[in-house]
Amino acid sequence: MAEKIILETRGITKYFGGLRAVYNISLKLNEKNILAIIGPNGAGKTTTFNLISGVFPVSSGNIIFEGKDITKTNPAERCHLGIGRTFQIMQPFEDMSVLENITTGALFGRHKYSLKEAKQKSLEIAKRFGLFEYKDFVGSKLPLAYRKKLEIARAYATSPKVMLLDEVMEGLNPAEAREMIETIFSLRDEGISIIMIDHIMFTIKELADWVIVMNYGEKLTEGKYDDVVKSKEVIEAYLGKEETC
Amino acid sequence: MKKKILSYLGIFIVAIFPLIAYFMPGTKYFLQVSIDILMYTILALSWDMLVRTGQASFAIPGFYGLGAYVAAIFTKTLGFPIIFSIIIALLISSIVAWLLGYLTLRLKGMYFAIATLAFSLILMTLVIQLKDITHGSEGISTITMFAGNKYMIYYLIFITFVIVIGISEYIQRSKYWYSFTAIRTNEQVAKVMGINTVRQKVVMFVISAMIASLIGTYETFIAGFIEPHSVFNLSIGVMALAMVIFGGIYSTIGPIVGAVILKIIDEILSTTIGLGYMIVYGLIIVITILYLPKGVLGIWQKK
Ligand SMILES: Nc1ncnc2c1ncn2[C@@H]1O[C@H](COP(=O)(O)OP(=O)(O)OP(=O)(O)O)[C@@H](O)[C@H]1O
Ligand SMILES: [Mg+2]
Repeated sequence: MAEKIILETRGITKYFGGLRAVYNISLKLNEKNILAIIGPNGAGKTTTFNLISGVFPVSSGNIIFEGKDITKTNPAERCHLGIGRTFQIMQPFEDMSVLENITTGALFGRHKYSLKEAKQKSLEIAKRFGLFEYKDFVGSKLPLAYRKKLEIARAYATSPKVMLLDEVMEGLNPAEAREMIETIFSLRDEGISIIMIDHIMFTIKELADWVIVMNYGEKLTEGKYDDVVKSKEVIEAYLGKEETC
Repeated sequence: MKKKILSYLGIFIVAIFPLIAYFMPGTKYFLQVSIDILMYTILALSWDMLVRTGQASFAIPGFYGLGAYVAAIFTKTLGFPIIFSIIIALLISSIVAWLLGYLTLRLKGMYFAIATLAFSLILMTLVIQLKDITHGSEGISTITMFAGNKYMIYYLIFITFVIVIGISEYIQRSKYWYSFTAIRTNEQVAKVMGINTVRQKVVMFVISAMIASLIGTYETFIAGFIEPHSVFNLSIGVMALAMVIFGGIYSTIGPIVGAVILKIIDEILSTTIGLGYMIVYGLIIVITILYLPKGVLGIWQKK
């Protein structure tokens, strides 16, 4: 079965001055798939998201979305094309309620809803992601699990075709993590293709169709979850090499 | 509802003020002070609208002076009618603001403030140096509008005031409230959410500059004489900023309340204690910043 590729990166690389944060990363995201990126701290996972969402320009390489080269577009244009993302360091807009945060996504996202429509949508979205009871809260005053939900709800409000989820499981208790897994599945079932960064192995095992392992900015290996975790490089990257210094 | 009635009542009082003033002793003085207050209210609003996008500008004196000088030169030297010279001043200011905006609005906080401050100072220096066109620091005299009739002037500025309130309230109630607040609180996230942050800031900067420039042209045709140190006066920018902070930032009513109160205090202090008034004035502002981060309206909202 030939699957359709919705998003692809071809050898993207990012230098911060002398620091090589991401080097030659090529990945392919199939439509309605969940791709997981794992790797130790500082491996370059978030930077890869920043390159795909256009927060930083690439140093070299190309990004292809729905067959078009979008390497030179700005973040707003990528949002309008259908790339949505959450932030690892949660960043709700201060001076705005939960509902207003979501409304902003609906107003300026892919469909650019009118204010009336966007307000309507944001109520629906708040309900869908279990944020309704907190709708009038200021984002930063929310409990952690709800801030994670707000990150997703706000990105979802821009009507993305691809969602980049940066560590949305981190810090959740088992019940909350369970709920989050169901949420991610529901997004996928709706037709959204997903790239997720995560450290938690059991969630990746359950969710991911394909796993990419990064270390020191490079792609270490990729494959199905079961194959990847058995590979020698991955075990070494996580547990360290058997070396005596 | 109550708010709405109050604001209509407020506008009504401002509208009929000249009639009240007519029956007071020293009518001319009252009118002149209220014209000043209205002009500052408009400037404070224009500064507030821009700062809603997170950009604290010091370009107000620059555009105020630019408007004033274009208006003076086009009427005096080139013999244009007042209305045309105002339109030309607005056109020139908007072009300058586009360019300046694209150059500087990528800068944040302090850097943007300094860049726009430099703009105001550079314009003043240019005006002083280009003696052939501007008559340098001697200043330039020209015609006055409405033959100096204060009632007419008051109503012209009152109409402008109502229009600027309209623009400000439109921003507060439209999708621009969402984009401005998003840009101000986290520009990077705003971009990822599909907001064209640079364009929105540039457009707001241009509108804000045109308002300052318009008030500058009024100044020319009210006084009939301008000189660089008074129209490019940095204290115009500082006053607008202080009024916004004093009254309550990111709102329509805050800058208005701030401008009215501070301008009245300014007037009373400068006529009673003379030169030292700036000290008291400065103290009032420092105290507000320290103890009333939301301005005087913040006290009221808490209740
Ligand atoms: N804006 C930046 N400027 C300079 N260096 C950066 C910047 N962003 C990231 N880096 C560096 O790039 C490297 C990769 O960081 P990145 O945040 O992508 O890692 P990560 O895989 O997401 O790690 P974590 O699991 O801790 O979130 C790190 O060394 C980091 O310090
Ligand atoms: Mg990260």
